Amino acid sequence: MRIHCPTFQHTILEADASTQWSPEEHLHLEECSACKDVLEQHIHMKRVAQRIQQVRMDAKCSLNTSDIVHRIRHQAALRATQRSTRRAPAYRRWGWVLVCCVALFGGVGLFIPGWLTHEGVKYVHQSDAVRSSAHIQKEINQLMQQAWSTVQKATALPHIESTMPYTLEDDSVGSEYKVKWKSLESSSADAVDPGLIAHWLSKTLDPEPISQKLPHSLDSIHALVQHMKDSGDIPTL
Amino acid sequence: MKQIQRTLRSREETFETLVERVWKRTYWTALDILGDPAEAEDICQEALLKAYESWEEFRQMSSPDTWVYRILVNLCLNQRRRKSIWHKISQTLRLQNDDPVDWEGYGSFLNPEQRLRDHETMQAIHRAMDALSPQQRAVFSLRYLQGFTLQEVADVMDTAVGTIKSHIYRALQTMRKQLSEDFWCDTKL
Repeated sequence: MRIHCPTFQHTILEADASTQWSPEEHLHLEECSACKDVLEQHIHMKRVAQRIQQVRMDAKCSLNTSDIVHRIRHQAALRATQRSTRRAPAYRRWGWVLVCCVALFGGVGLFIPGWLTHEGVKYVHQSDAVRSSAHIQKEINQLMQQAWSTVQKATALPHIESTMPYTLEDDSVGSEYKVKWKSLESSSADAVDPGLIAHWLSKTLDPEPISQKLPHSLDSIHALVQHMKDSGDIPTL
Repeated sequence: MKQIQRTLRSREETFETLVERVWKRTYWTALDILGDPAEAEDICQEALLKAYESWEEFRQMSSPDTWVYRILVNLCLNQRRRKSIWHKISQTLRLQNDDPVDWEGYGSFLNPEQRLRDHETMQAIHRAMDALSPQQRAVFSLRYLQGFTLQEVADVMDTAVGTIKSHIYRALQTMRKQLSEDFWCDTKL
């Protein structure tokens, strides 16, 4: 055996008093003080430890095995009970789920209407009612139609286009509307230039686009139409 | 129903056999690592309780004893880590008290002189072990004081035999420095 001290010292740690060393190892142990020390310490410690082991194994324990097992079993049962009581019953857990759902949807419904409108549901809040965007557009269209027919009658030009030459645009949240006039094309040679009508209409109805908040803009259109009906104050073309 | 009762009874019997086999050694190992008899007893109970609670998984193991020792050593090392802040204080108190191990009732069959010598030796070893790291302490206890083989110590510590040898080597060097010349010269025990 080729002796390399650190390796040999590890081998020594497996030895006991009866270990037979080869002549080479024996010679090394006599010559190498480090290895000799390790061997002496190891063997001495083993001898001391054997004595201690013996005393320990012969020592009387205040508890016998069945006492210990009984204690452990009792402890295990106690822990199992604690674990089961710590877990909330099913109705309580589902109760919490229900409360969370109500809070969540209630919060969304009551406090975040803007979120709903933004997501395309498009509700517009008024003081006493909630009306859909489509409903408001319909209302505006009706008013504009009334205004247009008044103009038609007043100008005695029934042959001009019967539909309103405008488009209605709303902003993304549905709280503001704008009426934009289309350019009219002349449908007959003797007709009054529809461009003029459009011009008049846009000047009358749209001095500033109907861009105020809805109740006001609707009111103003109502008032305007009424005024046109009552006074017949239609400009002569 | 009878089958279940039989299985349960068999489980209890097997567990009792295990406890009988390992209790003393687990106690002494815990005491060597922790140095406190009450704490050692609690940790042993905790380790066996863990084994009892996961018995089904446990009994399928090839060496349940090794597993118990592994649980025990891990618990002891965790415990030491937890109270490392107080370690120095306890060391001071221990030096004042000068009696780390409760020997009362142990070795009562021995004559008083022999008991005293054993007592002194054990005290000296325990004092010297305070200078070891927790791992070295565990390895030293398992290898020398519990008489485990190197392979068994490696299994319990879940590490390679070479690492265990290094721990033992360093532990021996430290013990050599800590224990008096008289201890190393006195071979009569």
